[in-house]
Amino acid sequence: MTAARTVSLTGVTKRYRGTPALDSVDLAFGPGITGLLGPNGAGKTTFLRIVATVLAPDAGEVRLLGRIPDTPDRLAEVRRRLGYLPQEMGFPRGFTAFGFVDYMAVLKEWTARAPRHDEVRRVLSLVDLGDLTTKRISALSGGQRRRVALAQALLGEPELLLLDEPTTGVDPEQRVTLRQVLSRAGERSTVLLSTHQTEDVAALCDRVVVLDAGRVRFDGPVVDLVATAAGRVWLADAPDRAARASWRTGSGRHRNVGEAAPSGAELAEPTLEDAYLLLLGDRARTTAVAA
Amino acid sequence: MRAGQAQGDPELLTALAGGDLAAMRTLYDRHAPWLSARLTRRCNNPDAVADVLQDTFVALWQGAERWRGDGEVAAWLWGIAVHRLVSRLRGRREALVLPLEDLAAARPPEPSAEERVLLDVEFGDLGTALLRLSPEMRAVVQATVLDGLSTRQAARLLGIPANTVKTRLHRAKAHLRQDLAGGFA
Amino acid sequence: MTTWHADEALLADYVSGDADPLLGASLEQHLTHCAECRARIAVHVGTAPLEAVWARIQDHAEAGRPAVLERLLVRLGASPPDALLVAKAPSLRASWLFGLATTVAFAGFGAAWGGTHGLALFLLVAPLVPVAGVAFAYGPDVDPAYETGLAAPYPEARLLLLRSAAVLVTSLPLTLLAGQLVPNLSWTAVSWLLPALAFTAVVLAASTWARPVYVAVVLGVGWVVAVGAASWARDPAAVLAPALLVTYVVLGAVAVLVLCLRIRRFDRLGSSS
Repeated sequence: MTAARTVSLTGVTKRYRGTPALDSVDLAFGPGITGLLGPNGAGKTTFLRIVATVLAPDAGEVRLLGRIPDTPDRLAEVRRRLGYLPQEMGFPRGFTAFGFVDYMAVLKEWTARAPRHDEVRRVLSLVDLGDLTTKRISALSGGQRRRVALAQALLGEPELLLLDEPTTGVDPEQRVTLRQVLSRAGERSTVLLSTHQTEDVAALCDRVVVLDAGRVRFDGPVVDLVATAAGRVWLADAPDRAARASWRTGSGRHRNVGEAAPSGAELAEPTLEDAYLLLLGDRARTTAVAA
Repeated sequence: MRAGQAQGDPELLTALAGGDLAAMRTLYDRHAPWLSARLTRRCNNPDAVADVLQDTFVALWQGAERWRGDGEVAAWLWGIAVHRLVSRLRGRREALVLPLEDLAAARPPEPSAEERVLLDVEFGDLGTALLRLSPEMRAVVQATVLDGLSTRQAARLLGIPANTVKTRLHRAKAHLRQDLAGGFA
Repeated sequence: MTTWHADEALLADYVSGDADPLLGASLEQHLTHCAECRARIAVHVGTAPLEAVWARIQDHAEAGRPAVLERLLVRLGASPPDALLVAKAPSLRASWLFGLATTVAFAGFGAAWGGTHGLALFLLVAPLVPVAGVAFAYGPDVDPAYETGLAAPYPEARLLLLRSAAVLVTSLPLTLLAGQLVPNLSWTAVSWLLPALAFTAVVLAASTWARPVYVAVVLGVGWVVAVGAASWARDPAAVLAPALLVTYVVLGAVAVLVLCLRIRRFDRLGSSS
């Protein structure tokens, strides 16, 4: 018995000036944290914007929380249960951290003042900004501003949480805090996490989707993706020209990622990043050969 | 552990003016208890005292930069608080402060040695002279001289006409002048 | 000089109200400059009421003082959430309103003393003031958090209309007042309202297709050209000739109609491009 899917996209296409940002994508998500990986221009942001209901697809069906949001009422109903953090979010001038999240809470229909203020304090302390509520946003660092932006997405414990690069600019200490927050959110909600940081995906996600040029290259458990790199990552004393990628690690050895390791080479434990590199590389090679 | 435990009041005020709520929390922890007690001695309605305390610190948050950096922060805070109290009492019969009259009857006016030291430290010679004043005159002296209120504000606080305040203050000053000039054992 | 400090008995008596009045007054003077005794008296004062007061103070400090406009809107009957959303529009902030008042005053005085050119300036500024206000009240160009707001349930159409109404209410009376400074005007002192309202309606209607700021710029340029041409022909008030006034009315009516028909587009999936 499959769990009801929170998000379901069928044949979704979006074009910008003729080039497809998303090309007939079929995906479905349920509760838990799913990572969304892909190079720049792969369509990750477009995808999230469509799921967040701020962008309409050119073709295909989008089903959110069990229904298609094609009337204003259904749209509002869906938006009540989702939280969205865009990739580039600016802040209007003159707001404090508290003031801005309060403003967003009003937009999310928290009409009563006292419960709203309690909720604002709750999400700000979740992202560890409880002591900086009265600071002007213009006086906060980039990472702190990103956390304010994340806090507003967490208002109301949404069932669907869409995060586009939530940890950009956030320092490593705070990133741990954010991972805890997201991990807890993933226990109750459907979280889609689009990021460049494969470590975040490896740490948080059970499932990963890799997008490239508007198409889904991989959709499955993280461990399966990592497994595709088995036997293709090895350590050597010198860089290997035949490898796809090769770099010197801190220990002085060279880590090589490529086709089958040379016989007798010392195999290394593949990481998600290795698998991701290999996946994208494979695709590039295949399309080059076909052309 | 609250931030700024080791900081002095002036530093906290500067931080507060820059939007640091934790600094105000520390100031609140330091000053709210005695302010609340002192306000209660002038107005024994706990809700009114709570409101005045709230207004004082909200006013502080909005205007912390107005402190000129001279004198004690505590004195400045009391100034804000007592003026807020007086504004609140406009037209209302809430100020029931006249423990000065009730208690003076109950206790003998002779202070112990320990208490004499306090009087000396705070008021010097004036202390014992003040003891010889009637409670009504002392109340007026406390409101105008010690709390820094105007005649009209003192009248509102004590619930008496302004002219009465003026008369009593005049008489009190005359008594004190006489006492201090004459000297006492 | 010995450093005197209050003993616990005195502090306890003072707090409970049993201290001798004069001693109490002396203690109060002492507390003003003794941090140690202030700390010690804290033990005798109950913490629960103080915590309750702090919660209220904290709320005031964090939430901030509502803007004058916000308080005014609530006084006029708007719900507090609506008032907050309206007051946060960029073109309804204090700084913008101040700039608006200055511009309008300048235009008014210019018209009063500047002869034909002054009149042209006034006619140029007056209808564009609400247009600029509406264009800068809403939309991706003026609101850095626009997309996040889109993903929220509050209806976009309602936000746009409420803010536009507030813009009109704040800018039109000011301009009307400045118009009183213009000499020999009679009808012209109010007939500029027709192009003003028409253009505002056009910006609103067009915002269902394009970005409000772009539309406002196009309208602005067009109006500058029109007033400039009329002014060059030494009759700036020609832009308010009766025939043209009828045109403005028709334009405004059509724009309102289009807006009503397309207003639902704001609450459809993907109202941004």
